[in-house]
Amino acid sequence: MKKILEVRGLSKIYGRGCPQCFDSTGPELDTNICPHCGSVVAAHNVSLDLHEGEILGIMGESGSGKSTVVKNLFFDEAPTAGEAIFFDTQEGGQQWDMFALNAARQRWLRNHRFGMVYQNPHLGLNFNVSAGGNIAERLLMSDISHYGDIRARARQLLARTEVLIDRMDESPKKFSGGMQQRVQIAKALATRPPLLYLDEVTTGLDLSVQARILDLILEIQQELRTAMIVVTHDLGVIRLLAGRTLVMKYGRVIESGLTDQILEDPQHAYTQRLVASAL
Amino acid sequence: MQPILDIDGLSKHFQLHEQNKLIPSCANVHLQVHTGQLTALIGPTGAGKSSVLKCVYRTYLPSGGRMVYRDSEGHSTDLALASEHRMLELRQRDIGFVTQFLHCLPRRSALDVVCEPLVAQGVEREVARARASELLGLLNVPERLWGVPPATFSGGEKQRVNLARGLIARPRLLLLDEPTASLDPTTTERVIGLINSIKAEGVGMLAIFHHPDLVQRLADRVVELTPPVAVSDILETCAS
Repeated sequence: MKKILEVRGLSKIYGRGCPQCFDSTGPELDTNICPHCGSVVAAHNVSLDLHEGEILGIMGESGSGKSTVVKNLFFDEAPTAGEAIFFDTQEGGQQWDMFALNAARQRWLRNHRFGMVYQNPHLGLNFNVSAGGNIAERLLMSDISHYGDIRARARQLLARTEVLIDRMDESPKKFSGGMQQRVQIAKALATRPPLLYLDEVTTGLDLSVQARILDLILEIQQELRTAMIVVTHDLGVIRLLAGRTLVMKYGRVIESGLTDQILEDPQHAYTQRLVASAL
Repeated sequence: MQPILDIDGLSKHFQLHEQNKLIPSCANVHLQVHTGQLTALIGPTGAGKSSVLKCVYRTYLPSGGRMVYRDSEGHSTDLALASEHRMLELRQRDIGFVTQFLHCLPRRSALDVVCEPLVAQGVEREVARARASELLGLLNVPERLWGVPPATFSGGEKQRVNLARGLIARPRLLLLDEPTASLDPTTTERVIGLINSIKAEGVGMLAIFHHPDLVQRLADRVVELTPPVAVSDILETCAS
C-alpha cells in the first residue's frame, strides 16, 4: 500500500500564543489553555501516516483537538506549525507540501483531491441552493461545466447515497438530518477524491440512520478505495470503520495503534477509562 | 526446516492504571509453528493461552519477548515490533485468526461475512461467494441461513461461520481459539477433516482445543502453559 498523506508535528494555537504555551499545556497538566497568555493549544505535535484506501480513526472527547486536525488538513484553518505532504496518486505521483502552497493551489487540492463531511450540514452545504445545485457547485469548481453532464453526475451521486432523485431540486433545508448528511457525502464524493475527511458525521442522528450512513461509508470505501480520516468520539464508529486509531487528549496524541488493540488492550490511563465507559 | 513462527520468551501483563494493578497473563512462552503442522497450546483456564494468540495477532501488545514470523519470501518480522501497516498487511495476506466468538460487521449476510477476507484480497465477490457457499455447506450450516446476518444464529452456527471465514483465505499461519467448543460430534468430525486438509496444503497452525482427544488427533507439537504468578504474590513471598 502506498502512502497518501504524511503529517509531521502539526500544531495549532488559537490566540496570540507565547513561548511557554506548549510546555504549559497537555494531558499531564490537565488543560489546553496556556496559563501565561490564555491561548488555547488545540493541537500540538500531531503526526500521522495514511495509506491509500485506508481508514484512520481519530478518537477523543470534545476539545481534544481531533476536529482541528482535519480542519487544518482541509485548509479550513492554517496551522501554527507543522508539515503535511500529500502524495498525489494521479498525474504521475506528484508530492504537495500542503501548508507551503499558495491559496490558489490549496483551493485546487481541496476541490480536486479532498472531500470533507462535517458534523454540521450547514458547514458543508449551501442551503440557498438545491441539493443537486450543491453537487453542481463542487463539479463546477473542479472544471466540469457541461450542464447535462453535471446534472447526470449529480443524479447518479444522489442515487448512490440513497437520496430520492425526485427531491434533487429542493433545498437541503427541507431534508431530515440523515438526508442532509447523505447530500454532504454525495457532494464530497462528486470529484472522486482519493482522500476524504469525515468529522463526526453520524453524531446526533437516530441509531438506525447512523447505521445506514456508516454502511454507506464502508461500501464507498470498498468500491472506490478512498482513504479516509474519521474523527469521532464514538467507539462504535471507530470499531466499525477504522483499521488504525489515534487517541487525542488536550491537543496531543496520547496513544495510537491497531483499532482492535486500542479497544482490547489500551495502554494509556485515559484510553482505558474511555474504553471502560463505553456502553 | 525453519519454523514460520518462532516465539521466544513471550510475556504479557496488563497494567490497569485506574486500579493501580499489574495483571500477569502469560510469561516466558516458547514455541514454534512449522509449515503444514499444528502446534497445540494446552493448560488450565487462566494460563494465558488466548493471550498468546492475541499477542501473535497483535490485538494485545506483548510486554516482552520475540515473535519472529517468516513470510513466503523468507523475510523475518518480529511481530512484537512490527509497524501497524506491516501487521495489517500480514493480517490481510498471511495470518488468519478464528476467535472464540464471532466479531463481524453487523447487517451483513453470513455469506458476505465469510467472503470478507477474500474480497479484501481483491477476489471478485461472486467468486468469493461461491467459495463461501462451498465452505458453509461443508461445515453443515443450513442453506436457509446463508442470506441472514449471523447476529441471531446459535452459538454453534456462529462458530462455523467464524471458522469458514478463517479458512476461506488460506492464510499461511492460522490461529485457532477453541474452534470446536460448541459443535456436535458430526460437525466436529467435519472440522477435523478440514483442519487436516489445510494442514496438507501447508498451512501452519497454532491452536487451543478443549478436548485432549482433539489435541492427540491433530497436534504435531504440544506446548503446556501454566498460570503466571502475580507480581504482588512474588513481592509478598520475598517480603516474608
